[in-house]
Amino acid sequence: MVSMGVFHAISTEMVVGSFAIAALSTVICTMATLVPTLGARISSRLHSHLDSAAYIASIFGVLMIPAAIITGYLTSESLGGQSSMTLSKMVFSGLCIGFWSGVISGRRLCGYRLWEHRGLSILQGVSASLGFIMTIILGSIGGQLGRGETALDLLPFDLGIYTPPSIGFVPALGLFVFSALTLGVVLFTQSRPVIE
Amino acid sequence: MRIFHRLLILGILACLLSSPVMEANPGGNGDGTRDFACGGSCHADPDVSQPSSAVISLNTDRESTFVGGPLTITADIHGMELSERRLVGVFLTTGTFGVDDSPDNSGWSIVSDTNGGSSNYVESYVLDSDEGISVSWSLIAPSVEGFTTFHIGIHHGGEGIARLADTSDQGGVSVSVGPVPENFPQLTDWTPITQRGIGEVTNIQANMMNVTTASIEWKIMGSQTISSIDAEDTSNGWEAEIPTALADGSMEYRWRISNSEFETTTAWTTLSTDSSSTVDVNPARLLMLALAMITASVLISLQRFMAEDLITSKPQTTSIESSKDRTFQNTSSGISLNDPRRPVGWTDEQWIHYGPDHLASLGGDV
Repeated sequence: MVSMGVFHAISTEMVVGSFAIAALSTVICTMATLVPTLGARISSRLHSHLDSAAYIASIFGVLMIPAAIITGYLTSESLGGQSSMTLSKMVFSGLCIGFWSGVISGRRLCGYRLWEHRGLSILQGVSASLGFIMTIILGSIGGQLGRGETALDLLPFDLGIYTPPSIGFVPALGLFVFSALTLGVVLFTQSRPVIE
Repeated sequence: MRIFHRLLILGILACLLSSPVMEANPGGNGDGTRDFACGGSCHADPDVSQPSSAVISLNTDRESTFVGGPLTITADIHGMELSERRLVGVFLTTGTFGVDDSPDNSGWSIVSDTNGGSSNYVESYVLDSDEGISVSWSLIAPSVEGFTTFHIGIHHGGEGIARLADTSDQGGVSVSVGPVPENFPQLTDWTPITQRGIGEVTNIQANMMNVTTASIEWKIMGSQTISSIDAEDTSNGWEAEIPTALADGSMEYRWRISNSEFETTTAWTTLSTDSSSTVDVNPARLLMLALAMITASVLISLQRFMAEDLITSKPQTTSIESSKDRTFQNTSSGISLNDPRRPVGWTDEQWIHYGPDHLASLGGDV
């Protein structure tokens, strides 16, 4: 009988792998825009492939996140329920989804011309990097939960990622409503430029 | 179709029949007051179970106590096979392994168990079999004098079959219960705290008799380092405040009480901090969604704002096409389809794309 933990391992590996490709490709494209000498060394075909790889990998990664969350939840249930670390995972999952959604949104809005704009390139690179850092943190918390140790233990300082923020239901609900309104305002009132 | 249906029904029946044999109660039954015979139909039946390889070490903090006196029993267990769920159930029993063998049947009261409850059967997850687990109980002796022999039994799974181990071969550990000495310092009214939330201030309070000094000794579960906090004699009894927990975990504490003649301690009481029992998951879920939306909102807003520049400017074919390949692409359009150096069998598309490279390898110009 295959336990839920195995399915969680499969789904998280796909998420992490996709985001690793997406982050690496995005950062290279960003560097190509910011550093002309590097941009000159990268062929247009390679640049185009990196851009496509980043786009497709980030979409695939985001689509796989729900599978990772569901299998992770079921795994934690079978291992004795939620703990403070699983709550931390939820919080970092939110940030991870947000950053990667931003990466996809930017690429969808501007297309390949995104790399013509220094500001957008920087934003894309920073979003992908932060999204990947969130992914690493999520993996690290998972390692701490499953094996009791993680590679981030090698760091000489405590990241404080295992203690979830203490927030009540009402403040959390308020923040949720505020975020939903903000997203609605951005999507429906801010003009969406059409890039040729 | 008929054969298919029959096979399907047979398959379902086979699954139903095999599942109890193969899996027993893999999710456990939860902590509780249970006899060791509980679960015996699976774990003790030689047809459907096997012995455990676990090594069980049973220790007490004292060899004798007095009527109503304290006792701490600790069991260190390692080397057991583990199922996929890594769950091990541990029993503290008295006497032989049969029915009515939980300590309450012998007059003992369990003040706390290792999970912060007051059960003789506790379940624990084992990450590493070699490292094993340590389980402890804090007990109060019965009101009558005598001897009691304690045993430890474990139920678990491993390699697809139920397993069982106990300390009957070792003979268990015997504890004598004697009379209370005169002028002996004692706690008269104390309900131990066994669970608390993260960040909670924990004030331990107890009424005592024949006591002139009192302190709380505490240690992190599994650690040998013992810290001490002096208690104060107040109008509500003796009080001491133990450190606040900042994360999940367990600690043990006990009273050390004395007068001019005697000094004694209570049993170690486990105080567990488990956010899963106190923390509501819903705020974290809402926070997750809120963070996802607010992050995406900020990024989308910035992208739309900056993308206005791209509308006013024409597509820049030169800004990202300054490399060798882009030079190749620009010149490739000027390559002649009728060039005599074009290899036989190359399509127009192949020639346009790869022709310049081919010509360059020949050392010629486009």
